[in-house]
Amino acid sequence: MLRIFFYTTLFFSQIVFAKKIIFLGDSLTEGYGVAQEAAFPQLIQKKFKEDKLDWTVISSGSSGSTSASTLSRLKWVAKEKPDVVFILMGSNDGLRGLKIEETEKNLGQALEWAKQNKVNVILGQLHVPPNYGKDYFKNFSDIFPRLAKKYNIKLAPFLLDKVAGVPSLNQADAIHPNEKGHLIVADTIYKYLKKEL
Amino acid sequence: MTLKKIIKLSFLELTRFRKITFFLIFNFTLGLIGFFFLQIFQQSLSAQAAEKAQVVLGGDISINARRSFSDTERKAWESQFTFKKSTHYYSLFSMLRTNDDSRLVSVGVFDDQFPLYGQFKLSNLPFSNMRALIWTDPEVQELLQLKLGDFVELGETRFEFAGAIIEDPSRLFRGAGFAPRVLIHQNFLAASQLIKPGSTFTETFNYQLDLAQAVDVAKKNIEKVIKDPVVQIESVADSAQDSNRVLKYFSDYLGLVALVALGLCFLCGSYLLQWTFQTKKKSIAILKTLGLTDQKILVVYLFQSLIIAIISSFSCILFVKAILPLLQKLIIEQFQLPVQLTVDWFSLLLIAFVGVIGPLLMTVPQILQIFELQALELFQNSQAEPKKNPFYYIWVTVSLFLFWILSIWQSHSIKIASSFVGALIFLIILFYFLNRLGLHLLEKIVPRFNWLIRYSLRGLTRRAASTSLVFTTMSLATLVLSLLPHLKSSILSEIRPEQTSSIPQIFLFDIQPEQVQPLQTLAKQELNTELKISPLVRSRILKINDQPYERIVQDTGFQTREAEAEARFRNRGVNLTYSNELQPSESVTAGKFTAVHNNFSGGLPEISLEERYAERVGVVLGDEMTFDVQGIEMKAKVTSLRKVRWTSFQPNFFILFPNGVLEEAPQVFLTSVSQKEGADPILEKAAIKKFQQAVVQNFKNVSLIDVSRTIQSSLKYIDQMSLGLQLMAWLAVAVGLFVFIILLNTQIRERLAEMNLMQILGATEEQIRNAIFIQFAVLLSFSIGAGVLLGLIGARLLLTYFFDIHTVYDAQYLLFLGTLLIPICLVVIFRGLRPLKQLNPMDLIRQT
Repeated sequence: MLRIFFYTTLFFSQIVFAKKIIFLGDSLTEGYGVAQEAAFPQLIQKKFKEDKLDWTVISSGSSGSTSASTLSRLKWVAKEKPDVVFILMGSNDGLRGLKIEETEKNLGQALEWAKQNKVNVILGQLHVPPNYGKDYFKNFSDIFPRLAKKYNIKLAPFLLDKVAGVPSLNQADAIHPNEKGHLIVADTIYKYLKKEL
Repeated sequence: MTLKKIIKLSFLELTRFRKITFFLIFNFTLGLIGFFFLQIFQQSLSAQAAEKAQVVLGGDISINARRSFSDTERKAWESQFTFKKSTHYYSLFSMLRTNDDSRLVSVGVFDDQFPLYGQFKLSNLPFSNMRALIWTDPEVQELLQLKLGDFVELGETRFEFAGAIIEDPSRLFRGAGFAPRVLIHQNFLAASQLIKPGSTFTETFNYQLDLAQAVDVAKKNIEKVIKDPVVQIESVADSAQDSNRVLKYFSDYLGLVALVALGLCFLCGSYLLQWTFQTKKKSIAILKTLGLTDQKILVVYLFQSLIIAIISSFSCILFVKAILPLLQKLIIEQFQLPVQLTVDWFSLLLIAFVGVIGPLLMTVPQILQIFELQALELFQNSQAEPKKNPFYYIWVTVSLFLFWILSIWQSHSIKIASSFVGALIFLIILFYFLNRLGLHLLEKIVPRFNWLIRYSLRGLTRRAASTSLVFTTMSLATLVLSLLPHLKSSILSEIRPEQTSSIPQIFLFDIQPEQVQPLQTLAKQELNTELKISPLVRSRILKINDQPYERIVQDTGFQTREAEAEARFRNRGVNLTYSNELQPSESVTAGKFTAVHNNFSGGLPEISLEERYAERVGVVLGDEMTFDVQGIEMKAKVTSLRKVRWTSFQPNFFILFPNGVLEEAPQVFLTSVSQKEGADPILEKAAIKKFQQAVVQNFKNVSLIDVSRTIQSSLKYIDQMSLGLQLMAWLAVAVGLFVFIILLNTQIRERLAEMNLMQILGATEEQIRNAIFIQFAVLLSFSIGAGVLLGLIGARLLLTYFFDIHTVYDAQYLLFLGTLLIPICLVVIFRGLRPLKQLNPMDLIRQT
């Protein structure tokens, strides 16, 4: 059933649009707590349209997902034959205090598969909140540039730059951006994308 | 006639009918004692439940947010209420490090005042600010192999391990988190640098209010000054309502039991007074014949009732006060129920009202009858039903209104009180008509039997009014006897898993598809069992019946905290699962569950929703929902609603798809591990521990939560509450039985004169006994039958529409009730007939 839906979407999208970017992430990408159209992937889509850039944005966010699911989900979205997959995975690993080596291994496996299958990937930089301790914060943050270098891929700036830790830009849980927060996230990512794409 | 003479006459009357006076005082006292004990027990259990809510919340009022509060904010809300004590603390996640390992922990950063209610139980050193100490959950101690005096790092500070957290009252019913808990004192927060720009934490202020301060008023005042919707303001009442369904069931049940006891008390009192009046009718007629005015007879009659009421109430209070310490000892030592039985002013006032004002109010119908009494009719020994005076109906209305007010007072709910009073009126009318029908049928069939049966049955039909009163009261008493235990067993079944062994020990999340098989192999190897693994597919609800479901936020933001909560709920996304069968904790309440979707049928997938969730999102059977599953839209039709027993503690989902739809969607899996039924608990625990270690070692991404301690502490509380429910049910049953005994006693007394006449006319003792037994066998069978049947129906209706839980009939209790009632009835009848042997023809003449 889902396969029929998938290929129908795929068929029509390939006729209509020239280029496609998929955001593969967790609750931040899913737009947890905000309407789908207020989440940053949809806001970026609007910006593409406003700038008359021929890009289609597909959001594949799954709340609570960890880096362990990156490979299987990458394989799933790769069926859409995207031009770019923007990977924003690992936040939940950090928040759950998973081992750094494990997160790095999981993301590495996904990037390895992308390389072998010629899927163009951008990796998003992520951080854990400072209360997780200086060591863990540093070790976690270092994963992303190290992987980007190893697999020779682009590293996007921190998704929540200027948003994390600002109460007025976040929901009551202080983790997920609210509508205003998503606007800033979209600006940050769009600026980067416009330059890189 | 002066007041002095009226008093003298009243006492004379009471002395002349001293057997009846004593009987009335004895019965009223016993009835009041039963009601008083129920009242005390209810108040004490409610107080205990309220205290538990305070412990769970950590105060009377709690204000928290996932951000820092400024001093200005704090001063603003603190100006809105008065409080005795306050505490300020932070909760956050961090990594606890030893030299060679680290682990995510949930850090509680408390001041000296915490907790305002309840207390921490710590294994070694007490909570203090003497030096940088840390206390941890036992699993942290075990995993990091900590010994007393060892040092660990948290943030930028080294803390000395000071012991394990044995009991943390604040975590009762709050569920287990991803991380075990550690405690540190607030004095060391700054040095640890755990909170700095970008940190995620919860700051909380808890308050213990002044006694005079109403919690709900304080909460409303605070809400006026805190405009930020992210700030959570919780009161102890919210905590009692929200934290668990157990407390809700419990308080509803308490309210109902108290009402039932109150109803029984009034019913029994009314019956006794009416019966006494019938006995004293002739005496009143004599006073009338001697020229005493109706008004004066009324005052004499009222004064007699007042004296009986005061003596009964006084005896009741004295008895209860004397027996309370013994009962307290019994409850704590024998039942292990930590309830402090106290007599408060509310209970005393209620007893005074029920015991003194109640009987006076209940005397009104007899007073009305005094005005209408015709002396001649009395000497004719007429059994005709008196015509009802219009004032009688006014009295009925006023009494019902007062009873309704009292019911509201008792149950703290207009809805419950109205339903209860409405049901009572309905039942009285129903029993009245059932009785009429029964008597009519008896009259029809009577001629077919021999004289003894004819005589016995006519003994019922001739006393139509008396039979109706007894039938109604007895049926209602039986209804109570059979109703409450079913409610109790259903509530217990809802809140308590049938088998402790089915309670999960650990939950496993984030299992990847390729890990399912290896995990099953590991479970087979270590636990010799197959895990029930549930898939979890993340999605969003986009539309319901093609109408947008998500809430778009306007530029002006949210107007209220509730509006934001509703929008966040709708925009949060949902977890879907799929299966071709329902779990044992699920049952379909509407529609039909579809196990497998036929991809070639062309129809939409047919899904099942949890009924409360369906209500919340506004979905009914036949509605179409559009989901976004990871970027792909798909429609489904709601074809069934399910009831889920959440206290099964098993992984359950709101939205269930059939097999054949979501298998290819990106998904993760979750499962739980329970002890096997019948297995040695120690060996099982060791096996689960081994399995747990193997999972941590081999499935590093899988999150594992040990829920055994949290569930066990919640179950301990549920067990205590269950015992409370059992005791309340038995107390109410005891009151019901008592009403039953009174009814039988009075009915036999009513028949003594007639039996004496039969004795004089030559009937043998055996014939008299048989006649009585036949009468009571018919009366008891009908009333007990009607009461039990309506008890079963009533329990079903109450549990389905009021408690909203499955009905679990207590068949064992019904059997027990039968074996208890039959011998009680036999003993009462035999004892009641004993005076017959001493009666002689002269007694008959004296009475008439």
